[in-house]
Amino acid sequence: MPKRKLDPLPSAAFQILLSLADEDLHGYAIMRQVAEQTGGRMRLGPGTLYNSIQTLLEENCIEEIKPRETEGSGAERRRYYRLTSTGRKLARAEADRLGELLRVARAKKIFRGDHV
Amino acid sequence: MSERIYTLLLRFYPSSFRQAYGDDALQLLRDRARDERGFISGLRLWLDILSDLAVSILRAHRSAPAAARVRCHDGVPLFLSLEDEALDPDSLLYGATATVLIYGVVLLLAQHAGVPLPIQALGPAQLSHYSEAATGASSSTTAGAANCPGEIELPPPPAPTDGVAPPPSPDSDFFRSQISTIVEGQLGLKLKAGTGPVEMLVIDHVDQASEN
Repeated sequence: MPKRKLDPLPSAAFQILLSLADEDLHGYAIMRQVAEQTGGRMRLGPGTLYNSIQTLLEENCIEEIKPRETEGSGAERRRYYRLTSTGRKLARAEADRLGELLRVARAKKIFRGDHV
Repeated sequence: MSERIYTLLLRFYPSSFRQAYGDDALQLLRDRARDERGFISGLRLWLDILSDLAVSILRAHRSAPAAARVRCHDGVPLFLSLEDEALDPDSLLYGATATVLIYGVVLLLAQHAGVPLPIQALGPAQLSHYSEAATGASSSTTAGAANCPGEIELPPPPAPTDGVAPPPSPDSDFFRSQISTIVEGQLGLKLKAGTGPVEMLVIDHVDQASEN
């Protein structure tokens, strides 16, 4: 049985799915959104970003949508990506897994006061 | 300038990736260069780009479609290649040049570090020995003796100056220098000067064996 590319879900792919949860974004906006939601700890480079986007597209977790009408033409026209229902399910499953991990960590009392 | 460098770096990615996302990656670099101005920001941008390149190139090649990496001729796969487009003739030239340079540098470093090499340069004495051994078959008929690879050949004594060739003494400088040349040059041994007792077997005469 072939191994799925998103099992386990790479951190970059999960962050991209989260960044697209609210709105459709183009590549650079995804990168900025990921940097914002991780507090600047993760800055996706072009290679990692588009590798992950390619994988997510192949697995139908995101889809490419037509450029917005308000976008410029020619070289400035960007490709926008949208989260699909499959992608949302995958993100939810990963969030649940991390939530469960968090619950275990809390039960083991390994957190300091701020996170409890 | 940055875009040109990054365009060159993009060539490390598989062509399928470049065709699909090359322009977008370049656009992302433009966006970041526009928003992150200044020396420190520019330095951080390029550190990000280079570290991202090191991590993502292998992943991009691994995830490139396998069908595109196999060239087929009449249904028979010819070879696997990381690149899924025809090789540029310039690439072959660059590859050959890079190979020669890398090989030369490795050999130079190995020689410098004293690492035994799989190839060995022949000295003048060895070259002379083997060249004469190669031509020995033709010259042996006239010289009267065959040159075998294991045979040590004594060089001729110095030419007489007055027409009469005196036999060289075993203690002469000529013999010492020739013995040193043979032992060190042809046998690869090292001579060390010293004094001490030496056991010798002297045959003073030989009689022919009788029929009984």
